Amino acid sequence: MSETRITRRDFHLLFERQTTAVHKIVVTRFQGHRLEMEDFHFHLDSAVLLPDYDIGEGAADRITALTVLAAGLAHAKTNPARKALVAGHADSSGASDYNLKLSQQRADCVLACWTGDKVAYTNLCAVRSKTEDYQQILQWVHQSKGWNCHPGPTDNVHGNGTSTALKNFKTAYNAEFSQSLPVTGACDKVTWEAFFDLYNQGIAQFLATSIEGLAAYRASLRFVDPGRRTVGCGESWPVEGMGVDGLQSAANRRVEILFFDPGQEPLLECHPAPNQCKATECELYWTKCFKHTPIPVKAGPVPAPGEALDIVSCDDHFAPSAETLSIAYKLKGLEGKPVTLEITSPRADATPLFTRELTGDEKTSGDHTFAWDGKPTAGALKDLYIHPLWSPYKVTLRSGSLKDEAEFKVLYHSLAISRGPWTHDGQEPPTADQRNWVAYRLNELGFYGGPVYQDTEEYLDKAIIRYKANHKAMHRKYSKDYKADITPELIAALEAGDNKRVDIEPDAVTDPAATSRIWVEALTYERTTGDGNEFRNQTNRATTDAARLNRPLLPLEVEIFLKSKTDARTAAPEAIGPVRINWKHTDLDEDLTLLPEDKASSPSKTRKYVAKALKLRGGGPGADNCPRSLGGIRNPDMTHYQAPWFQGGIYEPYQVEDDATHKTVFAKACTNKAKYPKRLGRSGILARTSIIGGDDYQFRAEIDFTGEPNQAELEKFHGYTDAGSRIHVRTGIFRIWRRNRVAYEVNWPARSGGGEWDLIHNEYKAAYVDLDVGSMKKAKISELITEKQYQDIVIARTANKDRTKISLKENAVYGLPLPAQGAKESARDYRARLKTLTGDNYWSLIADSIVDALAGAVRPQEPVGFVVMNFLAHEAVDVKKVDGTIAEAGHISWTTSFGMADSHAMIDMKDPDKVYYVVGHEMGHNFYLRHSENTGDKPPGHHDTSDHNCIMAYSSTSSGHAHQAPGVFEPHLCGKCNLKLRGWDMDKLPGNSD
Amino acid sequence: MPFQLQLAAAAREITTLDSPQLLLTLSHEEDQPRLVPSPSQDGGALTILFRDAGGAPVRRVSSLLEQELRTNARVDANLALEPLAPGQPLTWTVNLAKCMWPLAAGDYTATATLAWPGETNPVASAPLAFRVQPVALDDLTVDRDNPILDRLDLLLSAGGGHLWLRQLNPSKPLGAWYNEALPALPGTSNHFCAAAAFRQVESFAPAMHRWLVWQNGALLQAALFEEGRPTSDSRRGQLPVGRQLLRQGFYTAGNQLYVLFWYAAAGRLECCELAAAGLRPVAAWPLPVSDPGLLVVRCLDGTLHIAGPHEGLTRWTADLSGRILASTRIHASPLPLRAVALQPEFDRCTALFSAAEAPATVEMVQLDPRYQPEPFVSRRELSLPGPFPELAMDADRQGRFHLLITTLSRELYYCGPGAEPRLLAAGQERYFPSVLAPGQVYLGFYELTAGFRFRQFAASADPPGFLEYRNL
Repeated sequence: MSETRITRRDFHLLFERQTTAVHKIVVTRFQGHRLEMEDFHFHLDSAVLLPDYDIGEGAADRITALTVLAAGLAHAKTNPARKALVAGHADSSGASDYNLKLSQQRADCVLACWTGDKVAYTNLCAVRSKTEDYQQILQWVHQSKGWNCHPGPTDNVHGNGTSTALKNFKTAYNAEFSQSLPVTGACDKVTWEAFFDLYNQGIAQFLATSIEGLAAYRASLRFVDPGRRTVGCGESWPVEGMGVDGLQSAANRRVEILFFDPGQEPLLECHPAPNQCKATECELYWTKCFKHTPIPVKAGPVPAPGEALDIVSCDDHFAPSAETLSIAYKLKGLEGKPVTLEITSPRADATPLFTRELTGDEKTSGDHTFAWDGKPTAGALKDLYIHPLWSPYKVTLRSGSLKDEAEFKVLYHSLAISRGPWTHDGQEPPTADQRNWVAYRLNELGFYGGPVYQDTEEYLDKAIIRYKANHKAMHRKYSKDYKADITPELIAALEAGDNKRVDIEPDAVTDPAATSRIWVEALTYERTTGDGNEFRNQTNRATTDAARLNRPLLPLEVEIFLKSKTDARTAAPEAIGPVRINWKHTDLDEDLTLLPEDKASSPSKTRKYVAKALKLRGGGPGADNCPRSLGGIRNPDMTHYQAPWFQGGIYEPYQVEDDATHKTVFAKACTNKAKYPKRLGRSGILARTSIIGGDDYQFRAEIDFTGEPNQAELEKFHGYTDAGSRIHVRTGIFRIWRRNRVAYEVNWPARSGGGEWDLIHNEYKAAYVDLDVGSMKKAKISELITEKQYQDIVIARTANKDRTKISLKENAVYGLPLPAQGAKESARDYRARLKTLTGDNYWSLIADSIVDALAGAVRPQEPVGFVVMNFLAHEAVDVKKVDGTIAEAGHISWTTSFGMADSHAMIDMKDPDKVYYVVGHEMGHNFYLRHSENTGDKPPGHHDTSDHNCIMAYSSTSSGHAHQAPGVFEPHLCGKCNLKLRGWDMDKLPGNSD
Repeated sequence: MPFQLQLAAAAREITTLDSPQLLLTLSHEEDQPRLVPSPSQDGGALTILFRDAGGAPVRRVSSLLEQELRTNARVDANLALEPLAPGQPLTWTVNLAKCMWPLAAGDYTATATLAWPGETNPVASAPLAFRVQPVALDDLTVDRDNPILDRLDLLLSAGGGHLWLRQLNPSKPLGAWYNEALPALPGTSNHFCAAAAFRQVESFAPAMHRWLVWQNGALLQAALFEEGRPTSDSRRGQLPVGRQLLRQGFYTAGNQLYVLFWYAAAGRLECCELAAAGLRPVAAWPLPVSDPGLLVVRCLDGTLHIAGPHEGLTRWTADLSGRILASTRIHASPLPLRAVALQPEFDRCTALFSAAEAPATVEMVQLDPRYQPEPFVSRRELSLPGPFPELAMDADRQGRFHLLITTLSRELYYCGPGAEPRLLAAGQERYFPSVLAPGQVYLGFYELTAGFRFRQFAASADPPGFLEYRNL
């Protein structure tokens, strides 16, 4: 069955429907919202709206004309989209034309009072008022203001009493309003204008606002038809006695203020001109077309005669604890009567937060100012300070039935972010608390020692080992032996502050325009013995990284500020309240232009490959950090927002919670002054990034009112329009960098020329590995190992046992005399035998031990960092042909550069390739990089197979691609090497860039 | 075409154990001398492409491949040019033993091509046809010593006293220093090579010398070879009565040649010098060995190094006056000893124990004090039915053992560290397996159609397998 929803307006439309089916047609009604100004606010035959209908006899709290007008303004402000219409109605007891006109005039009068149109009001009063109107108004003024202007009975006769009352009224009016009306006994135009001012004052009072505030309310009014804001319906639409002529009915005599939602506005074609009403064309009161819902009106207080109280002004907002709230009030005739000042909040229970019985001096007739420090005397905030979350607060001045109210707020101003301390008091744990003291010290020294007191992820063990590995006294070549135990040696080093290093550059913490580096060690193979020999076993870098490195820790903290009375940023930590601070992070797009360019002289697929990899596992713009499945922490699922944060109570005193609905974590501001005085009014979190080079993060903290029962109001007070407009602070960009260094250049002999270090530095820089090449030491081989050491090595490792024939030469590794070429020995065979003798049978056998010896000399000074050794295989020798002529003078038979364990790179100076390529290549081996395509070592999956110019390939070989010819192509690390250096798990990366 | 390149062969019909020797002649017809690649350093300018009978390329060799197959250092691709005068052809020989392993049985053509920078048109020879015949290997002895270079000599024996001597670099045994067919010794037996008992560094000449010893009836004969070619130095002597020739011997830098016997009646090892005048007893050492056939004896600088089956594996040192200097039990095993190898220059000893009972168990031991004072030991229960007629093993410096075994069902398996046995070949009566694991793993074995060769096994390749250097 089909369903069609229409309104009465659609009745003229044609609907075509299939005849054989059942169709449902639903007629919906338009919705109106109605306030009613009842008949008793008008005297018979008068259009003057009376402010109160029941002077002297009514209830203290009652609905008056002014309360209705105030309710209408409040409704308009809280429903700004709704449009209004004022409709006047009469009963059928008189002539219909008369009734029509009167209803229009009454509607116009209500509109004038409602919108503050003094001219329209006075004009109307001039033509359609009666003596009893101003007699009743004077009574109202007497009662509400305490002025001596009671005219006597409302008899519609302007006698002496009325004249006197008018004179007294004008006198009092002139005094209060600083005017100079002629003090006469007549009710003239200026008298009506003065009455109008008091109407406004009364409406403002009901709205608990000032005259200026009242104007703001009125500014929010919108009308169905701005050119026809009122209609007079005469007797057309009675509430009772429909169709009965001559019926006197107070219920039918009324003025209605109507509101309509957008799209629900009535058509006003039934009023083609003023004082015309075509009831048959009306849809507004046709119940089948419109339904009107009453708007509730709260009864307002009506003061006793001769007494008055008025809150003249109150600060809109203030910063408790830093300044006081000023409440200016005026009292009259309340001496000797109890006058109470109360501060309340809708968030508090029924008990006022603050109650003060005014003292005698404070309640004399006249002007006073009360200064409140913002400290409640009761309720949940007793002895604390009020804070923004319970806004708006209300100050109420009350005496008997007299009451005046004013609203004020406490507002947040801004956030300031900083690097937080490791402990809540910023103090080192006592040394007796050994474990936490060590964690604290390691953090202070830049070794990511883990959350102090709350280490749930064994940060400390890893950090201790990294510290030992980096420490001269505790460094062991075989880190297999490292234990995460806390030794006296460790404690002494930590106490001395040894090895202090920058873990995270500080600028981006506070400067959103800055970029700072978060440092992570670029580990090299460390274990070199037995089955655990990483260099030979070529273990997976990502796995080793994860096992050895801690994720960097960045404690972040925001200080929350309040708005002062002058809107200045004000520190008021005791008045911040438990406001929720969201902690968010952004993953910025990588700048791929930092990667090698694909040029004819230097073909490179690195950029292409990396671009492809960054899009893996849900990656792409705004999400190109290394995904979790490839070794990073980016998690493409809904929980990614949690990735770089510790949750729970890891970072005391902040409790980080998860808001899955809004995909954020948050930590409420600390309010526990007694326990955490230094953290008061702050929120904090412990960020833990990935260890992947190139990953970047920008952090944001924001004040969020989600979960507060008055969320909408709080957002309004703070100008929130969407999540982006929240009060926030953001850091600059933090980018992960791996770091290592070249500690030593050992010369056996020294290389002539140079200048390659910057190229090497830049090659690794493209993979976010910062290789410090500026602080290396240089030494001759004989400065690091002795001849005896060398002889011992040769004797132990090679077949050469005659010490007398072995010497440590400064210019070549081979330490024995070279065999002479045989007379019948061909040049090719002699070369090959020299190569075997000095290579396979010598250098290959002693290289490990030479590294050991070098490490023994170097590591006590430089625990970590590369040791790059330049060397020549043997001394140069002439090679002859079998005919005795020289085939090659100064021959050196082989060249082999290689990487060794413990960050050693052996660089053969005869190597024909560009030095930066060779050094970069051999150092790459220590960074877990394996050979590429044209070597004998072809492990699957380690390289971009479509990139034939990887540094990790051999440059010259009898097979493979013709690339990297020295002087022709400049090689670069392929995309897979690049990502592996960053820490990506290359086993799971695609095989090529195509 | 200004240049002509001619290719000829010393023999057009060879066996799977031979290495072709090719003769190249380069000439030109121009008036002025031309620069051509020097045969002593041609930078890979000369390539020789082999095609099978169907014309399909089989492999391409060059001086670059020669380097790659014989040593581990980086290939030197430097090219030297030398002038070639008009009418004075340049002739040189290429010994393919150095840059290729023997070809499998079949018909082939070889084409030489010379191409070098500056010469636009490569110079190519006419194809040269030749045939490779299969040959049945009867025996293989392997000797490793280190007079100046670490060398591995293979003595390959076929029927009718046909012998080949092939010398390899144990660090890269893919190309040979040489591979020569020796003069036939019909009716002889018990051929073996003596090992150098000395080390010097002044000359490579000792690396090229090998004493070959053999039995000819009641005579023991020996001859000195230089790169597989006979020299004038030969010796003979009457075999002593009642002694078992151990097929092991050694010689000094002064070419004093010693051979070893086991005298079962006295339970002792005896050493005799084979001099020009005949055999001369030198010394004897009583040894409590259970199976003298497993004794391994090496001599270095006057000290005898002996390893053999006694309480597992025991090692002795002795001098040439008959004194036992020291005795050390290296490893005790409940399994019987099957093979032992010694490298006295490194004090290195490897041994293999195995039992035939199910489950077939192999225990491998390597003592190499350069890397670890205590022996590396690996015991494996193999998922293969024993007994194993042939076993060969080597270990690398990390103590990882690589094992080749043959089964009674004529299958050859490689058992890598931690890996299941991998079938390499089947159907052969004997494979004469040999393993070298200096870092890379080289597996040597014989097949009738392919001869004997070492091949590089890449366990980290995907899939694991032999690395070929076909260079096509």
